[in-house]
Amino acid sequence: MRNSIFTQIWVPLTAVTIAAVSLLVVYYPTEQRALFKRYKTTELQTIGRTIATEVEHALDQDDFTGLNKMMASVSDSSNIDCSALVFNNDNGTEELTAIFPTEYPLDLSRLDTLNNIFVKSTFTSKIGSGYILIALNKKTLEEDIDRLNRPIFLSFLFFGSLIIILIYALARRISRPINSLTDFARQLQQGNYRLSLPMSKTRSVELQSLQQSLGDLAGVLQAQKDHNKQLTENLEHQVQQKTENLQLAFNDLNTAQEMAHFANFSYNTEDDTWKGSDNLAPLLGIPDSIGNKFRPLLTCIKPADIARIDAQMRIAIKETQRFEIQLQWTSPQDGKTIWLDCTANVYIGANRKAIIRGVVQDITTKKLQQEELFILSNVAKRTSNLVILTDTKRRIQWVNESVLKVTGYSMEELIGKTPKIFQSARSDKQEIEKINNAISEVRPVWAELINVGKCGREYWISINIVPLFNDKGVHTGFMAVETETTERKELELQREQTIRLLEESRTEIAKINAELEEKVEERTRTIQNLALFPQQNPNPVLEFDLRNKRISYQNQAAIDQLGDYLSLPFEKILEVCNIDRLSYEQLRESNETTIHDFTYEVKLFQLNEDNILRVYLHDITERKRNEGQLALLISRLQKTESDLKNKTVELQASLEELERTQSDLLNKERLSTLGVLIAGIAHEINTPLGAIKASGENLKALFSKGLIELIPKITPADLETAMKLFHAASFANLSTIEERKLVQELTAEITLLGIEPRQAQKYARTFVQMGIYRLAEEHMSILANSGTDIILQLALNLILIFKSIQTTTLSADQGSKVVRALNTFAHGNLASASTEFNLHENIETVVTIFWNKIKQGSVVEMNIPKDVKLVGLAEEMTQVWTNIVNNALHASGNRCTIRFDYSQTEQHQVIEVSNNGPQIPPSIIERIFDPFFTTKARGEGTGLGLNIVHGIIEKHKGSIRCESDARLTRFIITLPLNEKGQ
Amino acid sequence: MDFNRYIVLFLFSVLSLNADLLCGQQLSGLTIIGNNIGTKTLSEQAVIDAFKAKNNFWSNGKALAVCLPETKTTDATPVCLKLYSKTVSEVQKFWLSQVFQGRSRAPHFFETDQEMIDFVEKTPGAIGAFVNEKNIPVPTELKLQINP
Repeated sequence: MRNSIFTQIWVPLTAVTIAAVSLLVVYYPTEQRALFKRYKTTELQTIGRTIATEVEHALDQDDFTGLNKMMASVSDSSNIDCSALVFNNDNGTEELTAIFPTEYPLDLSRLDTLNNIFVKSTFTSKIGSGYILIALNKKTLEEDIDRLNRPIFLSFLFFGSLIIILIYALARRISRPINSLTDFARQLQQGNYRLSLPMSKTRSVELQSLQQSLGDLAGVLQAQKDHNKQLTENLEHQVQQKTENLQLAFNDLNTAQEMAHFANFSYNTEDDTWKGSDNLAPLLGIPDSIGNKFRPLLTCIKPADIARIDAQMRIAIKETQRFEIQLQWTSPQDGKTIWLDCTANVYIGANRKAIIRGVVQDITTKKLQQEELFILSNVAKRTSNLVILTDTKRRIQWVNESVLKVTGYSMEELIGKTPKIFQSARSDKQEIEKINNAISEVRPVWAELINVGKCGREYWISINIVPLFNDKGVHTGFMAVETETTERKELELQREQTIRLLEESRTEIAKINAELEEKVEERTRTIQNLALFPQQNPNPVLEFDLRNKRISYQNQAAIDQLGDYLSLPFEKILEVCNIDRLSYEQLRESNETTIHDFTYEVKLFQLNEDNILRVYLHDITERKRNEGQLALLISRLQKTESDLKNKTVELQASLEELERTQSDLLNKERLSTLGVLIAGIAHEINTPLGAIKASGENLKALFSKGLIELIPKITPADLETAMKLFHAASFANLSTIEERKLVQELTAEITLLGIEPRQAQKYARTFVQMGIYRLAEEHMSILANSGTDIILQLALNLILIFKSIQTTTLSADQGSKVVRALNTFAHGNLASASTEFNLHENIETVVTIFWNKIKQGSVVEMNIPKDVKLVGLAEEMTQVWTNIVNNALHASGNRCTIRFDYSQTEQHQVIEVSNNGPQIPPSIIERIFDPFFTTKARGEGTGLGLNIVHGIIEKHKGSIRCESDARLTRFIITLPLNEKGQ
Repeated sequence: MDFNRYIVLFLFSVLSLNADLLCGQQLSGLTIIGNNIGTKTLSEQAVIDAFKAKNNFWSNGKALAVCLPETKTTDATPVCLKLYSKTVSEVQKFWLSQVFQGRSRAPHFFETDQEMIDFVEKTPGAIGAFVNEKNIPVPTELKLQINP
């Protein structure tokens, strides 16, 4: 009933009618009242104006008849409460001359302003001006208005009620047939299609048409109902089939996700809840106990990633855009850390809150492969070895920088060519054959070759070629890793030559030894044979009877070869034969031995108990000669070995010389920089020196012309007063304008004391020089003193002396600072051992050295804590900052902001030096650390600065990289933390 | 000395202005005329009261009609002084007040004495006053006898 058509028509129209009538009842009287008031006011104004005109006429024309009539008519008017005649007096007051009705008091202040409306009309006559005051009674006015409005109220109420009744009748008339049709339609809705249509009487063509349509619709619906029943059965069957297919597809999707380590998720930012596919929790290791709130999951994300995720998520929500992020996730179940790739879209819900839906994938394996690839690519690029990649047809695809450096070719010249371009005519053909065979058989090979560079320089390389295969095992090309071995090869050749010489010598010696051994054995055999038959021995044989001290036997050879010796005394013969008693005793013990002679060998035999000694002498002259040759060969061998050692020592010395040269180079580079800066540094030193000199001259003048002349004139009282002024003085530095202004003000004050203006200005200048800008009591008493000039001069001299000393000290400190920085900078090569040093002070030294350039328009921002310590070679690190700062200033024309930042990770200290100077072109940024690479004009730079920087950082086991864009150029230096974590 | 001189001058002025009063001849020099006012003889006070419209009707029931010389005429000042002891402007204000409050009918102002005589002659209850310097003949029946 509430929403019936009747209600919808009757209620709003009735409400509108009531509202309209209410509005009219409220609005009309208000307007009527205002209108009536305006009318009455206008009427009163007209009456007042008329009276005023009549008053003017009466006074100017001496004709009061008009006024008389007017007042008679006014007295008849019931709406006018009273009227008054007021004259303006010359003194500005108002005089109430007359009032009507006359019972009202003749007093302006006693007029009833609360209950009356007053209208004023002015008049001017020859005897004076004034105004007519007409008063209208408010109560009377209201009664008139009410009387006027009463019939209108009744009319509104009557017509309003009539309209409501008409609306009621109209609503009933419209709603009755519609209700009847609605009941029929409701029956149709309930499926009662065979119901007969109640034909209500209606004059509306539309409703009659609707009645007819509903009747037709009932028939159609009955037919459609039967048809729909059949369709529903078919659809249910199809839905069942589709559902089964969907379930299968869903299962396949789950399987695919698991295989690809994929999972879906959604995150509702309104209530901070998440949900995901079935495999999300196993993939991320989320236990059921963790619930569906998102915040607890943040503990699983690496802290460094959280801020990044939060920032990207905020941007994505704000822009309603897709976002991708990679993060490290620690499984809450097993603590295992994995890499996740997250891609998500942002959807804005009806409540303006974002819902994030997306997928996550475990990319740990991919990430590890990427890192490995990055390392390997860096190794390939940075290695000093020559790396060449070819396709299967041996066409060069890529070479590293070392190849370009060693061969002298550019990358463009090499791409597409075969490595034959490097082959030298002197290369070993067998080695080349070996390589060709291995390549044709697609197997690894190692060889040593002589290659030739673009400029014709030949060099030895050790080449290792390996075939490359893709993931599917298909051969894709070859990689050749070459090492230049020219120097080693030359040394090896020398060594081989030496060894060959040594081997030849040894072979010769062995041969001689063998021959000798053979001869000795033959001789021994002969001697042994001959021992039994001494008379047949061709060598001398003697037998000594030691007991009787005589030669008991001598063969013919002894007689022939020894001759006269045999006639010598027995002891002498023993001496000649190098046999003495001791030898004899030893012989007895060893039973057999050999005693050498230069030319003879003596063989002794103990023949029997009678102490008969048989001595065999044989010529060993030839053997001795061979032994001499052997000694010579050994001597030569030893000499060769010695030469080899000397060569090694020389090589070592060359290496040390090379290191020394490098160190000298470093030093020269530093001194070169220093040389460029020396003019500026000299200026920095000269400035404080100039100040010191000027202060010295001031002091000299103050003593000689000031104090010395004053001292005889000073009384103790003057001295005391002057000292008070000295202690009260301030030492602010004033500009000329400020000083002049203060002198003027003070002169004015002093002049007021009765002092002549010129003298006052002199005193004022003296006071301002002393830092006294306002006169106090004690100053006035000084000015009144007879010794004013002496006191002021003495105090001023003392203050100027103090200022000069202060200037001297400050200037000396400034100069000392520059010299200390210069000293630290110039003696960089003295320290060779790592020490702990303060990074801030280290950089400050460089800033001081460059200060003359920096102050031309650059700014240095030092964001490094003052307690940061580095361990290393402080002087070499100074060289690092020097080169970077020098380059920045040079590139920007000494107009840039150089900023030093420091940060620390668990294992590293990171120092970033950035500047907003010109960008380093991307085409050369890879080469800036190369030796002799420079963009400066010829003679301005050696091209070694950044190469030295690179070397120093590597020496400290650190790394340096450079990033440059249009906004900033940044040098990022990473150094390992020392054991103390500093 | 100066003070005494001012006092003498002040007293002289006061005496000069009120000479008539002092001598009991306030309306002397004025010609008072009236028409059918119920009497031919009036005291000075009665004349003054009539001109001040103390009563709007005469004893014979005729309505009072006051006639005065126009304010711009030379007669206006002496008439106003003698009858009202006021200046011309003050008399105008007086009548303005009277008429405004409905206390009395409007007075009639005349540029010449003759016009006034003519009006009085034609209007019963009218009373007029003027300085008859030109000796215009005044009808005997209009002329009122004024007793001091």
